[in-house]
Amino acid sequence: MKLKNWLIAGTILCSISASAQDSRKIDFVEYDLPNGLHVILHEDHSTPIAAVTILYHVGSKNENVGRTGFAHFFEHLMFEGTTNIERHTYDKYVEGAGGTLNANTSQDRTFYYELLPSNQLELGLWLESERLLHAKVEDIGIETQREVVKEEKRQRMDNQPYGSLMYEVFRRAYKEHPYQWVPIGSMEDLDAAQEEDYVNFYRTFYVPHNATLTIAGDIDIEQTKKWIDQYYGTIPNGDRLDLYRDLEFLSLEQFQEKYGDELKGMATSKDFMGDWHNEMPTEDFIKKYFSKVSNEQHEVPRPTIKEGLLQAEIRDTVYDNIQLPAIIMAYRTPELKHEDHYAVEMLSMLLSQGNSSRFNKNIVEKQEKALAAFAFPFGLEDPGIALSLAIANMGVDLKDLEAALDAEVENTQTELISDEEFEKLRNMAESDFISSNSTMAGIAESLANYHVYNGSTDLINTELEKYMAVTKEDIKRVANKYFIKSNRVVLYYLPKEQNN
Amino acid sequence: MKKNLIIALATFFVGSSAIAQIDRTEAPKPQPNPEIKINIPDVVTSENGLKVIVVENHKLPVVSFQLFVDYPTLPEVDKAGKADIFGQLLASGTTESTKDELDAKIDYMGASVATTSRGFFASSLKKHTPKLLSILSEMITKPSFPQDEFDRVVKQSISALEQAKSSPDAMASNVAGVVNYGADHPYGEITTEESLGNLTVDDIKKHYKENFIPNMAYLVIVGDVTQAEAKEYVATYFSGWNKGTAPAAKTFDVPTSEGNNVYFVDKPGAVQSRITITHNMDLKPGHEDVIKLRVLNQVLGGGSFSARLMSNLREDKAYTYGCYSQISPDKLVGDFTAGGNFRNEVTDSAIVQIIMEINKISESGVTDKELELVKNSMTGAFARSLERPETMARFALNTVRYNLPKDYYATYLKDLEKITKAELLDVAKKYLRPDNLNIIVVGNEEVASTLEQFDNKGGMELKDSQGKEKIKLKSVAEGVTAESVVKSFLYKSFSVDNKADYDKIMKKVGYVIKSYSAPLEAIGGDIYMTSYSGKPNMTASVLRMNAGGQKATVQKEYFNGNSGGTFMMGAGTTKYEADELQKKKDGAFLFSQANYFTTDFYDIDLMGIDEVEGEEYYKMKVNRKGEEDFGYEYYSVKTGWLVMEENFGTDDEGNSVGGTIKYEDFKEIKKGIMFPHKMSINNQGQLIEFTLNEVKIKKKPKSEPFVGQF
Repeated sequence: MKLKNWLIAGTILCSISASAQDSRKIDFVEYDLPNGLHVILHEDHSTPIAAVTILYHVGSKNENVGRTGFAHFFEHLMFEGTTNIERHTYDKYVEGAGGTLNANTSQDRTFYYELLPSNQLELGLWLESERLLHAKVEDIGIETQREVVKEEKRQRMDNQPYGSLMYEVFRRAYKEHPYQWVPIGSMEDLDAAQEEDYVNFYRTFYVPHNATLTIAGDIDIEQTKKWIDQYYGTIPNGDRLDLYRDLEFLSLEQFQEKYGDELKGMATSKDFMGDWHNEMPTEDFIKKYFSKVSNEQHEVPRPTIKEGLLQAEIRDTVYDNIQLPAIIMAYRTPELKHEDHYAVEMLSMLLSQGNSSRFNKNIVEKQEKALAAFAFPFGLEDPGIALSLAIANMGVDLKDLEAALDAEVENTQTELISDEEFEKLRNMAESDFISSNSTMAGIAESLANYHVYNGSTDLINTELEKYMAVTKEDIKRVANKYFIKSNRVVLYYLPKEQNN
Repeated sequence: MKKNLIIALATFFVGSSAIAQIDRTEAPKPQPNPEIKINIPDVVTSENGLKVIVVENHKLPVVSFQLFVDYPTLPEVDKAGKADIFGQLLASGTTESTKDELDAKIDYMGASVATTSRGFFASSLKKHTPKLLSILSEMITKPSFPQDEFDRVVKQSISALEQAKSSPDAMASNVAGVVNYGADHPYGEITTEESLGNLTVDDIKKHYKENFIPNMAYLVIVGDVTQAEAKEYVATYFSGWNKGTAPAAKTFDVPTSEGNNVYFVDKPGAVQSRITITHNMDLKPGHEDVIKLRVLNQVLGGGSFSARLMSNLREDKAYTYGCYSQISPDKLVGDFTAGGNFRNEVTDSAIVQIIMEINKISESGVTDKELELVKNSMTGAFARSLERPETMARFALNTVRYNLPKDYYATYLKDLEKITKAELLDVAKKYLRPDNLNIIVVGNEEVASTLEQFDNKGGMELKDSQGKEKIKLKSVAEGVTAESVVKSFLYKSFSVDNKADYDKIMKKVGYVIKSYSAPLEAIGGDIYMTSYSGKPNMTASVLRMNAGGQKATVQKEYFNGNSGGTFMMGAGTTKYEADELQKKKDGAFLFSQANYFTTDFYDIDLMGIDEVEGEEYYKMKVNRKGEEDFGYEYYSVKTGWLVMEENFGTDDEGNSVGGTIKYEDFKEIKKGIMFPHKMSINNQGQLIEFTLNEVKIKKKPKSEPFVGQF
């Protein structure tokens, strides 16, 4: 295909002088396909682009001990190819179409996206349907990506100052819950992965009812729905999907062994062997030999442990290749869906959003104890943590810095914040809310997140109300409930050795 | 199993409606191409010379303002970092408001304001725009540059420099600046603690006065705003900003070099090498070759997975998470840079591959397929970039700033499409210098020895984290050996110059008790240490603290020649066993150095002469045989004293442990016996400074301390 035919309108467009409203609404339609795939569509014609995204509800918290890092590793492998897409061509399809693609993996989910010119929407739908239906993982890809992921870990975590921060915090902040490891996992576990791990992971988590397909941009909703029916509506689920994939990936011998009993001798019949060797379409094959196989969705396993508040403060020291000592505090906070989430967010804003925030004004500017000091809530699907992080100025004792951070938190526990400061937080929340979601990629991701984590896609339009419902008393209350010493991990980061 | 079949059957899979089956084996064809709308706004010049660019976008009720003062980049000489400090101070107070007041006002609106050395970026909801503008106007026309804010910002910047010392990217970028442009070029100047220390508030005020003028500035307004509103904003809030005399721009020479040159920066403990392969490039923005070089770079190492560097070094060889290249045009001087982060073992292999790719593209250019792919992907990227209204503003700004043809961006896609393979080969030959590269590696010293081969002159240069030449260890004078250095130190401690006199004193000394004290802020009190040495190999020490009248014994160690142990507050007593016990038995009286050459417990290596802050030291590596832990000892060349020990080791959990001990203030105790009276221990950043208060020297040891009774 040729993109040189793109028309360029050099004419100056008339400016529309209408003013935007003081709120903004993002319209969307959402529905489930019969196979369980959730679909969200947002139409916006301001730029001729379309974001095609799929969120799989699987992250590092779905991993087993001994296989940490697997979800992220698997994400890398999902670019290797499919039955119909040759190895090393996923990206070429997209780039050749003038698009871009990538993916990321968190504790809770794996997110794939293509940003395409809007006339290439169908290409994006095809690419993602291939990944869901029959992604192909071969040894050469596994070995290569294993090393690539290790380099990613070295680059991001091992060789960066404070790069091990999340790892060091999470492994102490959780005893039982899989949040105790970070998505990048461990090198030993990456090495330990076996072939059956790949098969099981794909079967368990890469299924329609565990995926959310979100498309935003210059699309026609009706046409898009038709394509979605064609590419995704036809994807089976349950035993039928397992069978579909087995038909494509197992050798005849393996297949006969696995399904021999079920086929009651038919597996070695001339007819069967003939159809196999003549490469009968998978759908037809299933209809002919497995007409009764079920589409019923398999249950997706999720961690059931919920770790509540910590019982006693955990303190430790980490030595790293850094120059300036730092202190990190992590408080257990409730899950994203919890009613206290927004009050925790506003408390964090009070502590560290903007130059006038308490941490910055007092600890960085007035006391000059820290080069930088932040508080940010790390909200997760299951109970998460709120981090406070301060990098000490040269010559400042971490004990003094810790006392300064504690003093700021204690103040929020004993004193109600002033009306003016409270109004400031509300204004910040309003500004952040209205300014967010300005790109199609961002809107698609937010829509999917709200659906999966909060069970309410419309929060993209209404979440501000949740912030506005928080009171000054709520902020003080959550400070006393969560930001207490017995509910935290305190880490001192110290230089490994004094260079120079 | 059925790749080649076209499926035309309708089937019922899920649900009840029949869906026409699609062919999954082929990628779907695109729909007709959409229209790309380019609407580059005009630039309007106000009375004071301020050039204003307005891009309307009414999607969200948000308006942003970006100010860019295009004053020339000049050297800062011994005050490197001046412009950065100026940028930080722009928001730090005006003649009407303190910084606290400004911060409070900005945050109250939920607005954001970030200042730089060339202006600001600010954004808020439209309802707050007038208030935001009045603050911005105040900031740029009436800055006060208060002394206390200046002091604070300088202090913080010094801390930030310290932090950058452990960042491989910051280290590599410092070295690249120095070697590509030269240390006197504005791009080669490195901000240091010293250069920041040379700055005064007056320098900042002068910088503002000379450079920050509206007739060199652009104001870019983007968002929910009309042309009329924008005009009014400028008149109300920026007309009071007075014109000035434009400072003159200067040109600078850049260094030329021959062959490939290797620069290595040691980053202790690094698990990856940060490789940067680079050279300067005479390429100005708007030059007709810029777009061709952009295409060329996209094939070589642009951001896509299909680019040659990525596909070779990541997808094929798995050496790295990412390997990229950039070609950057610039008004003064541009550059070419390629590289990434690679695990230690493949450092040299990665360099081989990157240089091979640079060579290959300079010799044979690109293929038809690559050209087609890159044109498509760049066309798409251009179209996608238009989603953000800031893009249109940037186009307008670049057009006027770089004096581009009016239709530069409108015809961009057509110009891109016209580029041929032959043109790309031409620019590759003209601009890339595969035989004259600066190869910079920031990494573990273990990889250094593999790098010499890439330097055409065979001698790579060692650099420090700020791009300055790092002095290699000098060789010691003839006749100086590890043994002679150690001997001279031992003799000096007894003020003798030969073995006979040394032995004579040693005979009279059998028991030494040293008492130290040190203040420890962390506990708000003092700590006391007493150490005991008894012949032939007995040792003991006790560490006590006294904080606010609270006294406690923190730690004890004792060994009587046969057995011993340690006591730690909170952990109780542990007896010495196995290796630990043997080590104690192997110990020497008073000086561990006495055993270095009279036993075979140690590997001792005199590495050479190191220079630290103008002083020369013999650097000696000391390693007890069979152990991984090791240390360096530094003996002053001038005085012969042991002045510093550095220890490196790992604890049971594999974490690095170690520290530095510095010795100072060497004074006589009695009868020519000399000990350092100041001992500073830096244990993982915790500094403890001990003063030697008392020394007792006796002939015969008492037994109590060596069994743990103090």
